[in-house]
Amino acid sequence: MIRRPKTGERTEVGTLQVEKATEAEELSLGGFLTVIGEDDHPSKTLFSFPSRHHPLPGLSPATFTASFQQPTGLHPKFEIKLPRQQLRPPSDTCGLHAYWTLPSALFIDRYQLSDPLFLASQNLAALHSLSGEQDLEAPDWAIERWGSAALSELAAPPSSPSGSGTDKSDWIITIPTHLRYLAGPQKPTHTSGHASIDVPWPIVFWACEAEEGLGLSNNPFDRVDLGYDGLFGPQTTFYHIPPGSEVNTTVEEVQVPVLDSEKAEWVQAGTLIAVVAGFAWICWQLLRATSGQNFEAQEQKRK
Amino acid sequence: MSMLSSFFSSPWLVFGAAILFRLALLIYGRWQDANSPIKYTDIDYLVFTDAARFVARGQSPYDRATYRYTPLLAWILIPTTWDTEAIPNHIWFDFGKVLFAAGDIATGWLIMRILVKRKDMSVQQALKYAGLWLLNPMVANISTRGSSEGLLAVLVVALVWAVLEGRIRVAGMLLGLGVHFKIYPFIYAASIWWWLGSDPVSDGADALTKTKAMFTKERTALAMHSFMTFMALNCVMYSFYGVPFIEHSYRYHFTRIDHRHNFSVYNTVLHLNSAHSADSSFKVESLAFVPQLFLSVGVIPFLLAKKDLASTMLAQTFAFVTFNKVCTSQYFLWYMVFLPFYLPLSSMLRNSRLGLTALVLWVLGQALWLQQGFELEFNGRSTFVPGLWLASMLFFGINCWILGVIVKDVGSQAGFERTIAAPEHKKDR
Repeated sequence: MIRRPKTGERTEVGTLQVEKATEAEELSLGGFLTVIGEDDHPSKTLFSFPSRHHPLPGLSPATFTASFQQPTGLHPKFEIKLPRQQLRPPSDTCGLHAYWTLPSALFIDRYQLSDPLFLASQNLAALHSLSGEQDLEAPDWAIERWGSAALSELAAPPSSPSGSGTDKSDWIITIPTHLRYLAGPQKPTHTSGHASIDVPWPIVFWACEAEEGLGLSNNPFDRVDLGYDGLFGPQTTFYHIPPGSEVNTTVEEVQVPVLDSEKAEWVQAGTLIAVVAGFAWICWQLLRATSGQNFEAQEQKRK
Repeated sequence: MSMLSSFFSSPWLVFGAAILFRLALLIYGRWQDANSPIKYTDIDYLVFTDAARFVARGQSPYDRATYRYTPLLAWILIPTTWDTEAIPNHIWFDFGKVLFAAGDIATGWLIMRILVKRKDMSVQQALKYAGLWLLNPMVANISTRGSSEGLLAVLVVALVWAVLEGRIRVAGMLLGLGVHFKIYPFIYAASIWWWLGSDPVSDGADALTKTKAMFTKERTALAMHSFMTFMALNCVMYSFYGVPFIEHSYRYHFTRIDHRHNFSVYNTVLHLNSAHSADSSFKVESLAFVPQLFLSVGVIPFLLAKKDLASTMLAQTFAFVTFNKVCTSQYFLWYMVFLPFYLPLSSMLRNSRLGLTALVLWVLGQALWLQQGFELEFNGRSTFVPGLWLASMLFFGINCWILGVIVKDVGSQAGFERTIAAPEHKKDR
């Protein structure tokens, strides 16, 4: 519903569709524009503007899928699968990146991702930024922050010598993560010793250096401060790789082993009994060994 | 058999073998680190060297997350940050590992000296017992991976040496340094105190005289020198780094809540009570220090110290580790260093079936726990209860049994290690 504008305000309605842009780093929109209350018929329009964010160029752009390696254990390994064939950077200055927000239950160890050999074995190039909760030891119930966010540069597949490549296999990138201890659900429902957490997929994109002098701020639809764009220079364009259309969810559910408090009724009492028994045994052995000695020594003295 | 005997009759061979063993591990470690994504170097070593880098730049070692030790450790590892023409940095980086491995050798040498001089052993016999430490793969592995437990071992054995030599002031300083380094050596104050003995008093002396006799010159020297060394180190570190030093070096170790699964019998209870802190049921672990300290600082040193100091220290440390709220395999080195002193008088050596059973059970207890831990970490099965809990209870039971054998052995020793002249009748003043 569009309401009549007050005095001093202008409301403009446009019906636009994406057109093919003449410049590579621009988006082009064409269609009809009408100013409510002023125009009596829509006027045709076609305009272009430089944009930070782009879809992938080409007819059959690449898509990615992601999942955790099973079983996840306490150190889940997240896999991002990309098709090797269609993975071509839009230009030479581009780097492949993934920006991932993690709930507090899951975390990345920045020290683990600082060794080049290890990074290479996971097909990662570098961990550029890690923000949010980064405590390596605390359990989840002691964490107050919502989680963390990581920007990783992914290694691009090596270009095959035969040109466009006939390799149909996937290029797999692995990001190692770790789980914090979770508190099990409190309710008397049967938990079977696991709790589940939801982890959203990362966004995967090529980050490329824009041409000099590209007026990115001239974009009327410009969106900034998305969380990751601030980590790049101001003249950076992003080409997004979408999740594959065959997937029906972009959130992974991870089963986390937890201490099932149902089964743990005996733990307090059992531990207490064990400690008391062990302690008593040791004291008993001590006294037997030392008091028997004294008794013998006294017997010797009397003789 | 005679080749083994001739091997152990030569200190050069034994120490040479120990040094070569560690050198080989160091070289292998460099190869593995350079060629495999799985590193030989311990993560702790990376923490120490990062902290040393901060110190070399004039900053605080506590800028490095998870550095929970005395700044002294970062200070002595400053050479790992050097980069000279003759020796490039990637070689200097291993300086710490070399230092810890050298500490092992020094420990072994001290053990041999004490056994020969104080226990009237032949060099060959002493080398066999010292070989338990020098040629032990677990010990060599831990030091060459860059874990600092080896430094504590030198301190602790040097402490034994100093006390047995009668150099009480040196012993006091070593004790103060040890407590500053790792806190737990404070338990040895109790055994040394009782070992030193009180001044002799005649039978008819009054309570005041008896009390005054307890505070002998030696005991006072021990207390004063350890306290002064401890406080002097604390003051220096505090003046450099302020509150973070107190926080990470001491307070953290008393209040930590990050009890990821470990061997301790209290682990499951702590996990349960931490996660479900709303339940107001009585918490077993809040009194965990009672049996731990009663044994390690109370009855064990009181009843056993005079019989054999080093074996008492073994029993103390064993009790401290077994009844501790956290127990990892690094802690085992804390008491293993005393084995060469205890085994000569141990029933486990005389009765080899008993000894073998103890060793097998000790290893088996850990293996069972590790298997449950593997299922949890890598297969995601919830083995917290009953798996890990029962495994830790079993390991606890095995350790209590072993400790029972140790205290029985030491307790049944006849006579005192330090012969004290019989008290003469003194005139009361």
